[in-house]
Amino acid sequence: MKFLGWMYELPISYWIRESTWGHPIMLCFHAIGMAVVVGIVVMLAIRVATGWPKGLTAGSFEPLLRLAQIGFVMNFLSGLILFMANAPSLTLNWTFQIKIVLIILGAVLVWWQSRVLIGTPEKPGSEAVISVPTRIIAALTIVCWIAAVVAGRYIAYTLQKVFL
Amino acid sequence: MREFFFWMRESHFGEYMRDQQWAFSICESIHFIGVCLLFGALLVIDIRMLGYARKISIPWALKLIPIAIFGFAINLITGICFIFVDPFQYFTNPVFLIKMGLIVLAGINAIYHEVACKERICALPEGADTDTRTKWIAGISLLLWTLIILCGRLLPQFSIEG
Repeated sequence: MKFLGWMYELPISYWIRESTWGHPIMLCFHAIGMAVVVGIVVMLAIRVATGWPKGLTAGSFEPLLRLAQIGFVMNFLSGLILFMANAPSLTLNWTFQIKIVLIILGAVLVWWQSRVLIGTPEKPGSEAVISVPTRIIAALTIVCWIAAVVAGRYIAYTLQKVFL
Repeated sequence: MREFFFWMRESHFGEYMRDQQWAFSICESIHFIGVCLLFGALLVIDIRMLGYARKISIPWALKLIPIAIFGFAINLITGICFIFVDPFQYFTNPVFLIKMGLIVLAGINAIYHEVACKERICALPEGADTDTRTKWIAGISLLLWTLIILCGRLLPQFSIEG
């Protein structure tokens, strides 16, 4: 609790809480980052889970996953700043807790998928062949990330402010 | 127009959206999922059209267009649900009007891509770079949709009523 209090007292946390633009600007970064990460991850997972659309080689995953990583870093940073501004309340908030668990789980599932796919030997122009367990992982990935988005939205409805 | 807005606000559905917080919040969640589907599909397509990530085959990327349209459709529907809550609050908000204008521009850009570029870029050999016009269209598309998300996120800050 002491550490949470320290974060809460930082000047940047104060700026997020008290200024007119601090909070909305950070939410803007967080929204764009969300669209990049969840967008890319879901596109790849749809292809892996369903096999549609045909015509994707395993090598295509790499540049897209790098892009998703950039979005993830952006959201980790903007999320961290938003968290610090309300650290005690968010730590106690159940939707926030669920969101964080879903993101960790979602990230592990993406990493798992990528390890299988990028390791797949590839003939130029050949279709990525995907096993059933990997397809199931991809379907779970979609569920996880969509649920994380929904949990994130509900923080606004369930957050009870804890004042220090 | 004013009468129509009054009708929307006073309708059963408008009342329902105002009174039932869960209905509004579910629409918000679906709106966010729509953003991810629309932007995700466009990102894959536009990155390739910009000439990056050339391992992606262009015909494959373009097959994601239905996902983008699906994302847009659910956002159009949930967006209309929001407007029922209070049309005046939206149509007096400058950022909302800018957002709508940007969506129209993004639509024109997408249609232009469909008629002027699609066939040509599909005929490109695997891994080939794209032409300047295609790159412009892809860049404008990403810029517009990024701005549209930002406008959406900033709507409450510019709301005149409430």
